Amino acid sequence: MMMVPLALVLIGAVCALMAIQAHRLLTAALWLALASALVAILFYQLGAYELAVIELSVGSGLVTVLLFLAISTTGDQPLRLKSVVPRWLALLLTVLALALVASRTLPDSVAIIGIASEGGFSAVLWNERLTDLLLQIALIIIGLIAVLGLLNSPEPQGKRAGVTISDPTARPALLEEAL
Amino acid sequence: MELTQIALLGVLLLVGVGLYGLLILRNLIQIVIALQILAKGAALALVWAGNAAGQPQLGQSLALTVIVADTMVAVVALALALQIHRRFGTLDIRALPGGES
Repeated sequence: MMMVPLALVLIGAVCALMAIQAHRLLTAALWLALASALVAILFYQLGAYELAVIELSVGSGLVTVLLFLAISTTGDQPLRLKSVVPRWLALLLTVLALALVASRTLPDSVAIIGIASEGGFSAVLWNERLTDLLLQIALIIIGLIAVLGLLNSPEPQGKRAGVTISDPTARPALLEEAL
Repeated sequence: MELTQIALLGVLLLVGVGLYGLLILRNLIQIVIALQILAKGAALALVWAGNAAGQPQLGQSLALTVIVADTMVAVVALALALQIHRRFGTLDIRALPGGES
C-alpha cells in the first residue's frame, strides 16, 4: 500500500535532480513540471486535496508557462558552466544540513501530537488564517506591479544602437561609430 | 514505513536537491528552478508537520501561503532575469558586473 507514495517521492526527487543537472533550460523546466505534478499527487495522498489542485495548476502549469516564456525570450543558453561552489563542498554542506534537519524531525515523524482542529480546510483558511489570505492578495498585487515595472522599463542605450554595451566585442564598433 | 515518514523523506530529498542546486548553479533561470524545488520541499514539510501535529488544515493553509509567495518570487525573479539579459546579454551570475569571472 505504501509502495505508491514511496515511488512518488523517489521519482519526484529524481525529477528534481534532473531539473538541476539538465544541460538545456527547456528540459530543466519540463523536469520541474514533472516533479511538481508528482508532489501534487503526494499532497493528494496526504489528504491535502485543495492544495494538490493548486500545486498542479500553479506549480506545474503557471510556473512552467512563465519559465517557457522567459526561456523563449532569452534563448536556450548552454548550461555547461563551472559551478559557483566546488561540487564536493556543495554536496557536503547539503548532507550536513539534511542530517541536522533529519536529526530534529525524524523522532517526531510518527508521533501524533496536538489536537485536531475543527472544520475543513476552507473553514480554517477563512476563519483562522484570514491574515494569511490578505497577505497573499497583497503579494499577488505587489508582484504584478513589480513585473509590470520591470518589463516596461526603457531599453538600455546600447540596445537601441543594435548592440549590447556590456559585450566587450561591441565597444570598438561603438567607438568607431562615435569617431 | 508510514506515510508521514515517506512524506518526511520527500521533504528531505526535495530540500536537499534545492539546496544543492542553489549552491552549484550559475544561470539565473536555473537558480529560479532550484528555488522552486526548495519551496516545494517547504510546502510538503508544512503539510507533513500539520498531519504530525494533528492539525492538517492549519498546515495546508500555511503551505498555500508558501505556494503563493513562492510563485510571486518566481514571477519577479524571472522578470528580473529578463531585464538582466536585456541589459547585459547574459544570465550567468559570474559574468555580471561585480561578479567574479
